[in-house]
Amino acid sequence: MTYYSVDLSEGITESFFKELENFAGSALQPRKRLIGITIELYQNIRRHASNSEHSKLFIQRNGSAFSVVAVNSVSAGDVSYLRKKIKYMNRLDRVELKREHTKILSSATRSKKSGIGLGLYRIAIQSASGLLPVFRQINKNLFTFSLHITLTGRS
Amino acid sequence: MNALLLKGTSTTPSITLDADKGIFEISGRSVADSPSEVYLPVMQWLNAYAREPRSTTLFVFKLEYFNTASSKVLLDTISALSFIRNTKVLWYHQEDDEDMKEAGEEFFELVNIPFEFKTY
Repeated sequence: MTYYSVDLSEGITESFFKELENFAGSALQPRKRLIGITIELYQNIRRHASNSEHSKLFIQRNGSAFSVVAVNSVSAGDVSYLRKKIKYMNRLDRVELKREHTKILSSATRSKKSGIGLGLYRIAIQSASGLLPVFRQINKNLFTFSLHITLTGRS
Repeated sequence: MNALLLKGTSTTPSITLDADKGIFEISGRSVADSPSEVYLPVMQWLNAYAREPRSTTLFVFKLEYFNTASSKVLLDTISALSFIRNTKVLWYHQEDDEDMKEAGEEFFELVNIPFEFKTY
């Protein structure tokens, strides 16, 4: 089992791609999924972090399977919304997730923080086993939000 | 009209829009956090080109990665092509990259323009 921790201070550079490609191995589809998902999570952390000191993004490789864990801080007021949204998404199968993704894309307007809400759907479509969220309270106003994603070859 | 030539970076695609040579291509990575800035000149160029297009326009998308922030601007770009007569999208994906193929199919579902899917 090997681990890779993504440097959240560097931006998405050539070395970001090279290091992830080396870590992911030669199989095209899992490598591209891993990198695509890591980019989404990376940008999600930078876009939405309430406090970057709690942010982390790391990947565990076990044979041909990958687990990606993104840790971010979110305000207490967002926790209920995120729980409900992920619970809803985890009830959908791949076809239903793709349908929702298409629906959001076709009617998308950008949110205040620049996303259009597609990122979690794309991640869920490519994940082998749904999205596993873990919330931990830091203080009255802040939680850490850890999102665990498992990737195999073809989902 | 003047060609629009933008060199790709680690997060932005290479863009070649050259009406004289008949080359229309967006390729590489489109993973910038704010892709609208990248695609604004593309939209402006296409709006101008639509007034006097070539008899046929084959528009190539050959993307290695694109993030979901780019999805909307890509859709806007492809939608703009539907106003150019006799235009077809050539959507390239690597042979084993089913996700990129599906992404092209999703755009195809949402616009009224012919697509041809090709591998590289």
